Amino acid sequence: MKRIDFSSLIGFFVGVALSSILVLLFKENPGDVLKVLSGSFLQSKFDMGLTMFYTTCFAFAGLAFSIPFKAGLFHIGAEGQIVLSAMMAAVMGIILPESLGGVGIILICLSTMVLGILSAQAIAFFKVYKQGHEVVVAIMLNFIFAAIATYVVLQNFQNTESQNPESSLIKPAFQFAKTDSLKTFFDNSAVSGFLIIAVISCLAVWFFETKTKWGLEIKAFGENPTAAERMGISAKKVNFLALGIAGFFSSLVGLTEVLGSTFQYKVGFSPAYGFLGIVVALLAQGHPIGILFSSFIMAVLHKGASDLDLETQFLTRDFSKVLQAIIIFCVAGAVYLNHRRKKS
Amino acid sequence: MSAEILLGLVLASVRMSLPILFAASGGYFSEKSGVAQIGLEAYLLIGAFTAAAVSFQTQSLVLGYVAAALVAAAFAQIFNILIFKFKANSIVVGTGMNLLAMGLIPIVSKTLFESTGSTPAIDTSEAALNQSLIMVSVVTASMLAICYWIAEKSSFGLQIKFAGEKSEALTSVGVSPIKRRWQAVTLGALITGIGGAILSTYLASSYSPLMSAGRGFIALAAVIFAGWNLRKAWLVVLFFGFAEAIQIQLQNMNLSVKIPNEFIQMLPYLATLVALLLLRNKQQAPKEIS
Amino acid sequence: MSLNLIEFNNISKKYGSCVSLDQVHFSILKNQIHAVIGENGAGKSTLMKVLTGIVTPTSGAMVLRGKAYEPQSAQDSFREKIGFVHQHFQLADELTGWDHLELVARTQNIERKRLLDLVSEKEAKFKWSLPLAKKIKAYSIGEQQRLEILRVLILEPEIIIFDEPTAVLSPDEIEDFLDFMLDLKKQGHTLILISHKLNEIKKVADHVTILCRGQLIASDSGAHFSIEQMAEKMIGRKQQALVQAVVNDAGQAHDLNLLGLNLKNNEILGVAGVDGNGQEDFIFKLRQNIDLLKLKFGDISEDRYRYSIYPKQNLIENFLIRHRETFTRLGLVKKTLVRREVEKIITDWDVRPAVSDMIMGEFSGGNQQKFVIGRELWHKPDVILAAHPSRGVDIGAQEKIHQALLDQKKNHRAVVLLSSDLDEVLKLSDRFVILFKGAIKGPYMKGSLNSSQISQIMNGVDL
Repeated sequence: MKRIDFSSLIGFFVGVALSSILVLLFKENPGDVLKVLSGSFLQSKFDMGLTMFYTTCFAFAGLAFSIPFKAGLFHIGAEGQIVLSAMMAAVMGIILPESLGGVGIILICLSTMVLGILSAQAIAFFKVYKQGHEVVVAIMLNFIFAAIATYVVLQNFQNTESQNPESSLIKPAFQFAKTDSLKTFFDNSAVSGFLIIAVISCLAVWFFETKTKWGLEIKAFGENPTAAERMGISAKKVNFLALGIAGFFSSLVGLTEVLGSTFQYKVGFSPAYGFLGIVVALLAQGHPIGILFSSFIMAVLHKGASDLDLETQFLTRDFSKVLQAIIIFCVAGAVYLNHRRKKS
Repeated sequence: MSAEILLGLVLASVRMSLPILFAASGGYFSEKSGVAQIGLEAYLLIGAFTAAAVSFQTQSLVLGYVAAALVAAAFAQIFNILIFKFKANSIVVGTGMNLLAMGLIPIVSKTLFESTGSTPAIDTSEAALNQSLIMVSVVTASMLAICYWIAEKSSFGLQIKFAGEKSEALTSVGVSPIKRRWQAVTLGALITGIGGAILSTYLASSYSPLMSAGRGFIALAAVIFAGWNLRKAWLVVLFFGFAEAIQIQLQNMNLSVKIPNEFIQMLPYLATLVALLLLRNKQQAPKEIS
Repeated sequence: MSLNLIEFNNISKKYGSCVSLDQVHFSILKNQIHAVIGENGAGKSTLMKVLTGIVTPTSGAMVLRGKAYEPQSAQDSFREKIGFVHQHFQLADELTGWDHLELVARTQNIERKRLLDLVSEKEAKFKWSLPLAKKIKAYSIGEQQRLEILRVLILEPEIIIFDEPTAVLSPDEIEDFLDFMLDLKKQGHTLILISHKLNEIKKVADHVTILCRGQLIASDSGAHFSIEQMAEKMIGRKQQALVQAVVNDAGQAHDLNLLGLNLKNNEILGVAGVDGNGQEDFIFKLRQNIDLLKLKFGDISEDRYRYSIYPKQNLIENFLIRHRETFTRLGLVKKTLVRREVEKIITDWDVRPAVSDMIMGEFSGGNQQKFVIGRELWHKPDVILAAHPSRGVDIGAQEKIHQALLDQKKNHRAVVLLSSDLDEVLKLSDRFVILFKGAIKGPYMKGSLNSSQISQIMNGVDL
């Protein structure tokens, strides 16, 4: 029934082809470069695990962008929310008494999620009540949240055994992911059970967007706000709902980092997940299942890029960004060409 | 506070806000013509790198500035082709432009200077610094004058406004709105590229990775915050620079009560949000912006 | 013939497989008022776009003042002294009147001093005084139209095209406007008037050209046609008579008190008035009132694109979002049930193409409107707002829409019909009110006022 849209896939391959030509300009062998980029994660179980970890974070970050995007909001505030919620998870993991055990883990998760949701809804607050543009507010909040997180961690919870700016480890009782079967299978890599939550989340968002009333309301509002309001959909509700969900997924990135991987807050842990999430979501054209795939592709590139410095003479790890950019361009162009073909 | 400190503060705030001032002016033209512009960061980076590299190679600051403007404008043509020929979404492509700039610069840098990070430092003798100061003053003054003239006095500026507000009005007098938008984006990239040049050759003495540090986004925020009004956008940028200057001043002062650095650093951003809370915000986005 | 100012020689324009103009061939004489009439989609606008260089014809040629004329852009038509007053004002709300004049002046190399002279000269000649320093959003509709005309007049055109100029004017303003046209003619201008208001054409036109579905039906002097003949030729057939619904009054009739108007549930209440006299506010209050009384509401809105449709979503989703409460259980929607209902609307209303999965934006305006009306009547609403229900649809669809509104009466539903087309209001409604500067005048029974009385009320005279 649903027409399958291959334009993304076509755009992707055209993008790879164009990038290969670019590689030639730098006198490198495109075959080698692609092999390094895509093959890096296959080198060992540990590398695979790391790629899976990136996939998890990218998928959450992608969802955090795509849902507000459907509501007509350009949400570039995920970065700040991610940093703030990671701080919350670390702080709670440090201060809660060990005796709480499983309850403690639940408390960590809940408090982190609540903070994530609220920090995103701060944008909705400015948008709804002060007519502030979401881009302006999100940019300011990103800086503010990063400063708060750094302050809280360094002033009160600095790891005394380390020279690096980072918090101490959360209580051992809360480091449940250490015995995670996914993690142990991948040689104690960064991956954790949060990967499964990410997969479920993508499916759940797909269900939410197509089968629930709220999902339809968000989509309708994003496409034609005046019509949506006339049909009784409240702008206030849509803004708070869409950004609340976004904040929830941002907080999951923080949890994945702290509860699933490092068990502490490291200043600068995020390779700009919030912004990479935008790329992930755009590549998937906002489709939640597509986000699962695009976050995997991005993770492979992200992982592979770190090997480029060593394996090639002129290309650097930043080449993955060039590749991402060209793929985005090609996907964006292909969507239009596909649309035009259908019309004529 | 003594007059000297105050003067110092004002000068510092102007100095700090220069790259943002250029990026905001550049962003203004693009946005006003109806093209959402989130690629300012890219033009700043490209301008900064080009200026540092060319100035180092040719030992000429002037050539560095010219190259920065031209290369940034040329770089923006990728954006233009995708937006206008392939009808791609400007926000999607803008995101891609930022990535592309961040990815390309280190590779070019490695090819040219065998270093992925910074370019070699340019001449920092006192004479060179003086020359740089004169250069920046002249360029900034002319930029402000020219931008004001284009936006408020020229036919081109009027047509850009119509392109953003009601493109049929342009079509009906035989002017192509697409052409005007194309030119507005190019002009914007050119101006922003010069802002990048100031960043790497005046506020620093070489290019260092990601040195724009979000200034492109802040410039965009200033344009939106000012309700797409050029002179208001300049004021917002100065206000922001002022907050940043106070922040630096506070960090250097020995206050009896210790305020944590992180909170001082927050100041400019917090001030913007407080302003949002206090002001009446009726932003008039260009009607046809997309 | 040397008197021919413009000749259209077998002009055709095709968009893909769609023929918009088919071998149109006629000429326009100097210093006349030449009316071009036809239904929506007859090709009038396309023909004018060809004349002004905005559209290039697929085949055919034009001759202007005896010379071949091939305009490449609007610029070329300015150079040839052709001015175009568009139906939809091409004014930017946020810019001032002077900005608009300057845009024209600067692109046509009129110096500032000359512009000032021209503006004061024209304003004096027609006794206008426009608030040129103010932004357009502060202008009344009439002022906007005058600015549109002024924009054209400063180019001192010989030929002026008016596209549906009276659509937004009250009857008195229309009279003034017709006099203004005659005035322009006296000053030596040649005028092309595009309209479908036949009585106005009868009054001023020296020559009438009738188009139907892209083809030239007739072109002859105005005296040659009666209004009835023009109507018949324009539609291509005789208009069908509407069947008045037989209302069965068996005990179900009752009044709804909306906005202080006792609205019977078996009547159509017309709302007439010139656009910009508080229609928006009226609709807003009506909706509020309906909400308050918790009545089921059928909302055929005044602006389809703004208030009624989601162009990128398919018909099923467009239906579902409107009736989402009906199809939601525990927050989940049931799409399969919806498809059946949507397909029923498609068949009932003859929506083409009959594909429920196609996105709204790919349907033509008329088909969109038919679907919207089907959707808004689907839930058997107590009150129906029909605002400009037949704006932009072809005559066949218009008849169907009118019949459907009449049919609502026998199902005991109240209809509020708001339209800027006075004929539409008078044709369908049992009672009507008139809006003037936000005030509601009336209600008046059908047939209780003659047209001059209506015109006076529309201009604020209390009878």
